[in-house]
Amino acid sequence: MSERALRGLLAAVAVAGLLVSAYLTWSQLRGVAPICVGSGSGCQTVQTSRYAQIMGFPVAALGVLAYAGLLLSAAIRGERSALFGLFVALVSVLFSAYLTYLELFVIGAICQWCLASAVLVVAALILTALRLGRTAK
Amino acid sequence: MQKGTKRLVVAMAVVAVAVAGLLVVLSQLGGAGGSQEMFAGIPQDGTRLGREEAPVTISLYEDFQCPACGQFARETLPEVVERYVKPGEVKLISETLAFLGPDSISTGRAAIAAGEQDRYWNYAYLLFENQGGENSGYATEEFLTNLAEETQGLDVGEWEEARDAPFVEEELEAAQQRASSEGVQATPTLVVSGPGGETTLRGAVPISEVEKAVEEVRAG
Repeated sequence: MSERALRGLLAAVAVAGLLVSAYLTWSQLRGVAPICVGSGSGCQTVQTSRYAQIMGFPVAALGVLAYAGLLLSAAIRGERSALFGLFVALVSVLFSAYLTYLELFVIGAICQWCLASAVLVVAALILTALRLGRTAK
Repeated sequence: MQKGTKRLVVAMAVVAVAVAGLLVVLSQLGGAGGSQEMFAGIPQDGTRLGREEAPVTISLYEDFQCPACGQFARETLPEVVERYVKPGEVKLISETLAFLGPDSISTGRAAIAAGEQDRYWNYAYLLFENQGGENSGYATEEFLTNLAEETQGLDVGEWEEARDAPFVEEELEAAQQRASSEGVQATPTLVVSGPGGETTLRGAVPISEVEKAVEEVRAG
């Protein structure tokens, strides 16, 4: 797959992630429970947990920043941009793994939006790694 | 890939791990806020935390040596306090049990003595934050006094005297009797009661289970 195609896919992943994290940030700032598929109230439990904020800053807003970074990386050609994208994706995957652990073992509830975001950052990591392999000769 | 690029990728990976680690640390620090912040503005009376007229009561049977009690206190309790006790929906009553060994008795006595000055929960918080190995003898006089000194607003002299007062022993015995009549056989056990009935939770349950139980008994 060409670098151009990988950038296109990365941009699509970043936009999807931006939508998810922007929705979660909005619902948290407005104090509205996120819509959770099925009968569970997991999204609300997770969103109102003490882990939903870091020093008063919504965790979902960190997601907005990360996906904006990925989108920026996708928009710019070249090795440095690819490296930056890989960096953002790696931080996001590691932090998402920690958040998923919290959901499963500490909070005891699953937020589907957060899981969707975790899948998206894993996809972004794969894409950014492949892209760096293409750009770095 | 060129050597320079490889080095750059390795350096980037190290920085990424460090940044993620920092976020994890900040996330852990963020909510806990220390006992001072956690219990600020919440009425305490002996072993009770929260408004007396709160519609739901959670009786928390615990032993300060029990690892699962420590886990519950560190991971779930701050959330329960923030979400239910602060707004006046729930009151927590700690039922101090001392069945695991000598350290259970000394820590239980120390916490109940702090309760005389309505600092039970602040002291108990520090006990769980600094919990040692079961029956390892960690709850020395020095350890208990250090925690008393760390407890904001606690008169250490009065606390020392209260530890030997008869009411401390009576409170421990009374809690044991209440545990027997409720059929409590392990710690932590939470007996959640309200207008809608009573439900019992066992073990270091996550906040979602407490949430369910509170909703269940709140409906009158």
